[in-house]
Amino acid sequence: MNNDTTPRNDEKSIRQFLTTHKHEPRPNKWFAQRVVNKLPDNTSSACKIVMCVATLIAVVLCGVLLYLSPQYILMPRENNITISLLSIYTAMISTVILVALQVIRLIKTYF
Amino acid sequence: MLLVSRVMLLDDRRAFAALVEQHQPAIRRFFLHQTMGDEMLSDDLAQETFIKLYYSIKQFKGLSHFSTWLYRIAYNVFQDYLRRNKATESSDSIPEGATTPHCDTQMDINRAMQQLNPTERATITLYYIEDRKVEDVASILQLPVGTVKSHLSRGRNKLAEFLKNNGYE
Repeated sequence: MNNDTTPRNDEKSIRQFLTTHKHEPRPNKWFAQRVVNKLPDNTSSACKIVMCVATLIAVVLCGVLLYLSPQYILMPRENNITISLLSIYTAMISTVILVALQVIRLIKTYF
Repeated sequence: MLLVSRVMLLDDRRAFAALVEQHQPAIRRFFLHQTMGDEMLSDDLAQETFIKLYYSIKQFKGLSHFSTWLYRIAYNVFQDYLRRNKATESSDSIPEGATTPHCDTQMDINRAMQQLNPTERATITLYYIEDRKVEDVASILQLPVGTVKSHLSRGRNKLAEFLKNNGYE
């Protein structure tokens, strides 16, 4: 019976010893900043942020346009295709391309 | 996970700093036990770990928990450190003079850790101090579960012997 309980006692005493005696690192509030300072220059990250913001703005603008005048954009009269309407179409196609690029980047990052 | 995504997608430095802040106590504690209390060395190795994390974060596929993956980087950093120092000293002899124990109890844990070889030390630290499952430890050390169990058992026997000889029972 003693042989059965000994490993369990060892386990218990080891766990207790390690829990009470373990090292705890001293608080170091500059640690993260020091690591960040050692990283390379991140000018490209600014470009990525600008691209994300631009995509977001484009999507919102397209949404607003579609919401305000869906018939004018989606079902124009045949003789009423104006320059402004063509510009709206171009902007919308650009937005779709922009979103597609972001989605491709997202997929490439994760898979 | 949101912080990891922000770092991956946007190279967001603030998110990375927050990620470091979140995980640094555990990683520094892991190294403190591997180096037997050498704070300066532990901080240097932890710093190296986070820099390696930054460069390889895009390789994180989310198949394991992020902290498990981070511990794997930390363990590899420590293995590299041991290899670099192999020429001058034996792999499990981190200079005793370099350790800076705060009190007798920490001297005892350093002495206890010295009874173990580096793999046993890492296994015992992850299992008992960092409270990781055997499967996680196996994933971190890139060893089969059975091998981890053997290391745990050997380490446990050595520690039990140490505790008996030093009046901890």
